[in-house]
Amino acid sequence: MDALIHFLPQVWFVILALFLFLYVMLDGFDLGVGILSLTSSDEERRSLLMTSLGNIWDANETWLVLMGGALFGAFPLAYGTILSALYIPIFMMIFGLIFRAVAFEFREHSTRKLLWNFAFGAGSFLAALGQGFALGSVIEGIAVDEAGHFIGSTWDWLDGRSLLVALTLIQGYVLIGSTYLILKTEGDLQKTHYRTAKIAAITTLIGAILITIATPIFYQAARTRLFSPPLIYVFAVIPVLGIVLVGLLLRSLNREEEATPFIWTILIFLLTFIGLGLIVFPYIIPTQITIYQAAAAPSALVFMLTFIGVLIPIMLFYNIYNYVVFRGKVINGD
Amino acid sequence: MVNGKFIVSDYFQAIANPFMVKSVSHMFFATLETSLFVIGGISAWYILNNRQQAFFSQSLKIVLAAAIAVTPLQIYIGHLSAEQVAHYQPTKLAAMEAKWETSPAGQPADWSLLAIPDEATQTNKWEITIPNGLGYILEFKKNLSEPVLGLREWPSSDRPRMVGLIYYSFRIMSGIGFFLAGLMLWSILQWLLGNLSTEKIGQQKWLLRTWIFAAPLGYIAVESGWIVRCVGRQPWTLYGQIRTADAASQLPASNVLTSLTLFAVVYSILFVATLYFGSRIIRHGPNLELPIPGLDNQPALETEPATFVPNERPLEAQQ
Repeated sequence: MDALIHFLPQVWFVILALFLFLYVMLDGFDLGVGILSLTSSDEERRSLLMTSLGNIWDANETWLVLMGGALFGAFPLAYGTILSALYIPIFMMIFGLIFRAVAFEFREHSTRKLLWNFAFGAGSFLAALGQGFALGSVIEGIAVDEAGHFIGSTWDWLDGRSLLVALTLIQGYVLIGSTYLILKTEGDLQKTHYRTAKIAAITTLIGAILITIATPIFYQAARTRLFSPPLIYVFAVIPVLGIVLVGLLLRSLNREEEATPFIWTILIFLLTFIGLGLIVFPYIIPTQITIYQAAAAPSALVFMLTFIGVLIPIMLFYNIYNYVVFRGKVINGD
Repeated sequence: MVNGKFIVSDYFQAIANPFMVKSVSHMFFATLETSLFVIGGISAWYILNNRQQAFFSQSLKIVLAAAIAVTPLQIYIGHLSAEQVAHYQPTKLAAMEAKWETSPAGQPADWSLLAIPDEATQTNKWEITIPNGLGYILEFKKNLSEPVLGLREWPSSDRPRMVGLIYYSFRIMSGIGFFLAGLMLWSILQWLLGNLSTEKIGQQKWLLRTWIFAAPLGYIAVESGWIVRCVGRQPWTLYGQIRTADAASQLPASNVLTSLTLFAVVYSILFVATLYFGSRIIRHGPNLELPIPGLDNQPALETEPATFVPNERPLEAQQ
């Protein structure tokens, strides 16, 4: 039973991390394409961008819903605290996602597309910004009392470091969105996105370097953990691997390869994610609440596990099937 | 309950609670009924405007065939839900019926049809009652077998406020339920009389107008039903266990008010946009020449090519 009390929250931490990663990767390029649509030079290009997402964006966002549900069920304390602390960033994200989602439907039917173009692009930007602030302030830590309830103020999430994380995340989304478009488009449009991918790769790298430097300086608990074995070896390797991956990405962009930039970008996301996961673990609200404190009763965790165990393979299957069906380039059908 | 927190001890029991089957089916049939009457209303609009009558009298008949089963079943499930409310949440039933005084078992009781509930004096200022009606409504017989408690049985802190809202929401919801069932019966009668054939259906002007009128009613019934359910269970989040005031998060009220206002504004805008685009799609009409997927370019229905000339009368005259 004692082993179970440690094992079950760890399983759920991994499941949550999986959901979060799948969401950030999949909806990441959705949002990135949305942000890029703000810079599209004409209506035809914008239509192509939206068509490239048309069949997959809602399947991608199911992972966010699933993550919310899993956090609520498995770590109710963390759910209550995080959502109270991040009320405004989360509402930024929700309203962003609402505008984005309706833009897909309404733009097609409208004759004056300007409003819905703006709803799509600005909604994507707002959603990404909200997610960035949320991520930044969770890593920074949230003010809680002994019982783990939020005691900070409404605007705690807003400061220089969370802004840095938010801007970097947006760069990352633009990067993965650009590499996705390289894969899905051709001709002039593809050329444009080789260019945006290169710029975004550099800006993401700068942001990532700044965050990597800032985290141990500002974040006392991370410093002691990061600079003692065994984690020091891991954290020595991650930045090196990261720079190698960015190098490979830039090389593939210079050679105008089609699929590899997207793959390198996914690997960069994965590496960043593993790094963040190792910093955060075993906390769910860093340095305050561990996953063991926040976890629901073992019976609840086992109960949910039986459902999730069935659901994850099904969802993965239809997600993959979806991509197989809609593989290939998006071309202008007119 | 552990350390002042509610911990769910058995999830299967929590999900399979006594409300589950009837509540889920009530809501499920509500969505079915809503969409049936939306489709029916749109079909009726096309028929009334002499557009694609062959196609839309067929779709209206499909809706009607489904409504034969759905509308009475929904009323029956609604009755079962009310029985459950009477058993498990007596304060809600008392509010739904604006019932202040307890009616003892073994006797008939009046059923209030319309009333103006007054919370200050704990009475109805004015009401029309159906003598002995309550027993027939709850148990299909004259005398009640169990007492039906009135609101005065509880201190005012343990029972819902806004009795009038709950009372009228319940009447709107059930009234719409019976109205839609009645519309179904009227239409079936006309169908049996042969008046719904493609040639004749256009003459059934008032029937078709009633179908158009009925199109939004399902939504109104669903919303009223939720008002009954959620205003009616106040002041409890878990009935009899935890109060809504204690279950609320500690967020400052201004935050919650801001987001609620934003939601209201955004969804109002989207509601208008949906109506605008929806009505435009409907006015544009279906494209019956699209190929059926899988078949090689056969039109979905043998009709004349769309020769429709856009309706140029003002919007008001098109109804």
